[in-house]
Amino acid sequence: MDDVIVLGSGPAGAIAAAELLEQGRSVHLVHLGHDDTIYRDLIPDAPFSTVRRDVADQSLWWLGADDEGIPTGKVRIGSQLTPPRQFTVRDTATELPVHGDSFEPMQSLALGGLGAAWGAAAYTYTADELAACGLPPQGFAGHYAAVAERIGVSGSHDDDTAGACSGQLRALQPPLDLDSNAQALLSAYRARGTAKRMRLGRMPLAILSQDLGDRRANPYFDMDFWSDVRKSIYRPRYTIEQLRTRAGFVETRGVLAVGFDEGQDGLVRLHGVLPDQGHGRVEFAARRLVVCAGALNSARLVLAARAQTDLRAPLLCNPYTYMPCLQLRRLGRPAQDRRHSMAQLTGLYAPPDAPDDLVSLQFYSYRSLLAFKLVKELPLHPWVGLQVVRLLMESLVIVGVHHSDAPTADNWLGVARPLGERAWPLRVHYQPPRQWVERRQQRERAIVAELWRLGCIGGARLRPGHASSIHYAGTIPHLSPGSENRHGLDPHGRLLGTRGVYVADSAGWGHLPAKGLTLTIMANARRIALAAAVSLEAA
Amino acid sequence: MLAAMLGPTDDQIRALARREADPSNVRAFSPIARGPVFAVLALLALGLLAVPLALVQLVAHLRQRGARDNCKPHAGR
Repeated sequence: MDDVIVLGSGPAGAIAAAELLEQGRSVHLVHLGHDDTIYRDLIPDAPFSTVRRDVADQSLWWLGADDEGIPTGKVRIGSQLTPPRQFTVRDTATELPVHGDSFEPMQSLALGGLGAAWGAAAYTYTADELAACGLPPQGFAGHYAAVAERIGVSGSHDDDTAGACSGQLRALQPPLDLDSNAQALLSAYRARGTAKRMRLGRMPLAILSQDLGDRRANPYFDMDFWSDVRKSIYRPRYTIEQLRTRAGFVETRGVLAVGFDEGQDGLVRLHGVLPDQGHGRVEFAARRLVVCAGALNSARLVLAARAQTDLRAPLLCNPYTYMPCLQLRRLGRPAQDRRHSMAQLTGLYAPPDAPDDLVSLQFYSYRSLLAFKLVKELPLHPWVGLQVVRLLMESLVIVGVHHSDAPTADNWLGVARPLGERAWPLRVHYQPPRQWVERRQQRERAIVAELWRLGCIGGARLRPGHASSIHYAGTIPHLSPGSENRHGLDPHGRLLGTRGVYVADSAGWGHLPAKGLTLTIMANARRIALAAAVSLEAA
Repeated sequence: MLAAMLGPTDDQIRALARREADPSNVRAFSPIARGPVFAVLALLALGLLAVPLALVQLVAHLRQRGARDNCKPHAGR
């Protein structure tokens, strides 16, 4: 009999499984585990420009074996993933149904979950932000440090953003080199002096600037949206690959969890189906269950296990806007070929009306995602559009803007009964209050003005729709002990009303800061895995 | 809606993507970096060219829509 079943192989599941194993517990990892079986070994370990110039059969991965890399019609969340990353969302539309037209989330059944296509932003939350989430600030720095040591985080302690973005990390790998666009932008920012409402600095990234184990430092090939060939960007599967060599670790793939129950024998039974085998039933038992299915699917599973079709659980999601901008001082000038593809800089905007309610910004340059995807978005004849893109591409900055989110009665999810042995469909409603929307728009206008002052001009603010940040939380909130409501977690992540079911992803958070959440998900998963291990000792 | 009608059709985007993915066309898709003055003048010229070509795009969208309608099983019978 295994000590613990860990459900899900994403960032939370990988870290929870590793920590439980470290604590001497036997772990059974259960997940569906789609993987890339087509592209991974095809893409050469070479710079983007070399690949473009020299490799004959490159269209296979740029466009995909079935042209899945050419987004047409209405662009949905996930459709912009490059073909080598699209396994991340395979089968989710059919196996993880979501009803409701106001919220189109990105979900994953992949090995590594959404972490298989993660942008590697490795922010820490401040003590105040952790407290607002319902996470204990005391001791959390230790969890951040342990996770950062495992996955490798590069960044700087010297930038204006460092205190708020990576202040809880004592040891960082040196920051990655900036590309031409980011160097110019950071120079303009530093030349302005220090009294600013918007701070700018280098991104803390889960990308190696130095070798770590069998993983290599980023080679600045600008192929990071396509290939993981040197493993420089952390993916949860690297941790799971390590665990497979360890005693006490068992893995079952191909399973879609649909429910669980606790028996009188003190065991937790996880019920699943096998989608590749006609949805036949399967069951596993252990002394503890640690659910790491992602905030949406953990709530789906808990509500299904209790058949609570009438309950409306809260839902948090960072509102997301992106702004294409032109950096005038870079117009018409060539850029360095040497760069990594992920966000180069981060920004933090402190609104005058609520300076602690930070808005976070991520600054990307654009090249290796190919020109035709930009041409598609321009209201121009394709030949004209292509020439415009070629003229502007090197000076283009894409600024992604995330706002914080808090619970409100209008943002909720529930479940409906499925037809047959399937995951229960989610019913989702997400409609933020109008005054919140107006306040966010006001802040975005102020950010545009700040960017203009840095010579980064733009006006378009594009909103891909609710759920597009892919940051979800708050669906099984931490509740105070003795609460009558059983749909919640105790401070150690244990599901109320159970003896041995823990939820170790972002489902328990009561607030969602604007900064990226993945590193905090992993640190919290470590915290809850330790709590589950302690509970086993006590038993 | 009008902006979408002035932009590329799905067929044009597919054709463009296939051209870009062909390594023999790398130069035709690579960035143009000949200085800021050239960039500004070229953008102005492209702006002038975009006006008549907007009509071409409207026609292309209407044609694509017509072709799609004719593909319906009941159409044309």
